[in-house]
Amino acid sequence: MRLEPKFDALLRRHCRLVAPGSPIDPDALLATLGVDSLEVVEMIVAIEDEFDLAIPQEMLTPEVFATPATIWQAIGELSAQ
Amino acid sequence: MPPMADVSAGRAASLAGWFGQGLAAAPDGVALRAGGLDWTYAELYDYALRLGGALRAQDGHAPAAVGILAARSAECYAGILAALFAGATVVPMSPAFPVERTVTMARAAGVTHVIADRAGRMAAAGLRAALPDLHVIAPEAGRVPAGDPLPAPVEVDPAAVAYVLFTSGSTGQPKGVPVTHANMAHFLAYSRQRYRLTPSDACSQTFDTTFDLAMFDLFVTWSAGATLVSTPAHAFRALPDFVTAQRLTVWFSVPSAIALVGRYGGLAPGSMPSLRWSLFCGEPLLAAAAAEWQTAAPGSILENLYGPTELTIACSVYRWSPDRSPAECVNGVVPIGDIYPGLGDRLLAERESDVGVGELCVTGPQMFSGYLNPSHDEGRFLAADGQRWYRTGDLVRRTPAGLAFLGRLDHQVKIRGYRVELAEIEARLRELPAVAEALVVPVEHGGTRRLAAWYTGVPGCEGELRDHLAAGLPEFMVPHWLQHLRALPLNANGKADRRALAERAQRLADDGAA
Repeated sequence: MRLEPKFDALLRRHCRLVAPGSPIDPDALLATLGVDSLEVVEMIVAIEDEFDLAIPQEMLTPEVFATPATIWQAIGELSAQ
Repeated sequence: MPPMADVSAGRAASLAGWFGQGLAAAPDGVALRAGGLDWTYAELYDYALRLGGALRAQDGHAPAAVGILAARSAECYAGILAALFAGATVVPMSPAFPVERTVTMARAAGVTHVIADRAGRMAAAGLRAALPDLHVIAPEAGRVPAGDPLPAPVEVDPAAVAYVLFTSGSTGQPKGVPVTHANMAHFLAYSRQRYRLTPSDACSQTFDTTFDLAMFDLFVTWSAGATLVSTPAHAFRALPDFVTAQRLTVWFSVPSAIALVGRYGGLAPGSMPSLRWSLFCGEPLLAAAAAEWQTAAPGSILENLYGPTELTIACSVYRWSPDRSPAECVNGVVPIGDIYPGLGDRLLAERESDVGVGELCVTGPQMFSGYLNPSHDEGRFLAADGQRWYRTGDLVRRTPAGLAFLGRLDHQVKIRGYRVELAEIEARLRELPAVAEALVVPVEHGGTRRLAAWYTGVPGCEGELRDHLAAGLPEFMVPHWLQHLRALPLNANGKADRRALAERAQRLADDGAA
């Protein structure tokens, strides 16, 4: 799986333990990519801005924000609405 | 201060017994809300007995220590109960920690069994590769592998270890802190009578289970028959909505959560009217943050709790008063207040001329008996007045408003409440041949505290160094900035000048230039 370029660029700004130029594992836990509890909230706001979405309360959970793949799935579901 | 009621009233002998009090009070009440599901006390009890049975079925006898490699799932919470019901010691682990660190923790705590949730499975596989005799149970969303359920929680000796938590160690190895059921009994008896929660309360659960304050969340809530609501950082995006939707009555978090909630507009006056307790612990609480939170949750009593893991969750408390407290703060920091009844405190002064100022030392029934590795005890205990005291390493001053926290006596810093020994990170950096010397300093950045590392040796190895740190340390211990220096600056005593490097790191964080 290759990440969509806009999403890939967004993730890189928040995943500080991903080395520049190396691919992001879509199934890695966000925390292992360097996303702390502060950063995850920043990332939620950035996703809402860049993809022009409002993420509802019930989706602001660790299950949705577990890995790049689960976030991408949620973006897809919200964009389709 | 509340009256000194008899803190032995209603005391249970074990953590299973404390859960049993809530089960008896509200069998059909909601014990846990996590992952979009509600679990009643009866359901959670049943699930934990089944998981406990599965633990016993692995090799026929009682597990000694059970790692819980899970986060915020039913398996995480029921797994903690299952280990306790099976008579074992709980060893909370994090799916987000590097496997290398989890292996170190498992070895040190003598972990024989692991319960992993979906998030913990990959780490569990890594753990098993390093420890082939480990039994791993990975239940799928409420379904448990074969084995008869436990008929009831196994009785345990109050002196048995209830849980082991690990804190950063200055020698380069994490330090295991064993806390007994008796330690917890004193803490819970006091908390029960101080907060007087009932089955109609709903309590936040913000802390990762690798942090001992999570044990407050679980057992203060469950001993009252109240509802524990998993509250991940994600909810901070719009916290008042979350608090209102979940009808939270008790909030408990690190103080740095206040700034995070405020950044997203969550601290408008009166925005969290359902709260009746607002509790903070884990790092210094700033007066301005306390005042802002109090305005947002005006119906709540706000308290600042203090205590290292070694003294079982918290050992002192200060109650905020919007009128009186601003004048009682020291350097803009809320006092840590009075030591709990039943515990003793004394100050170890650096010089004889110091009066009312010194290192806080505490003794009593919440004091742990020593680290898993006895060599870590060196310098951490004081013998005085025929008693053994735990030396906290915290410099405090006695004031009319109770104890005031002044700072650390060593190079330990708090990152979002997590204790971090800078020397542990420095030791990890020096393991690499490219590194001659290393020095790590804290910086303030974006409303929180972060780390910067400097090293001497081979230039251009920053990427390799960061990978090495991330492979062995939790995320919060991996510095945000890492730079090479030709030589460390020295101070007048010929030692590495931490202050100069901290100032330089702060400039790096502020504007990206050193």
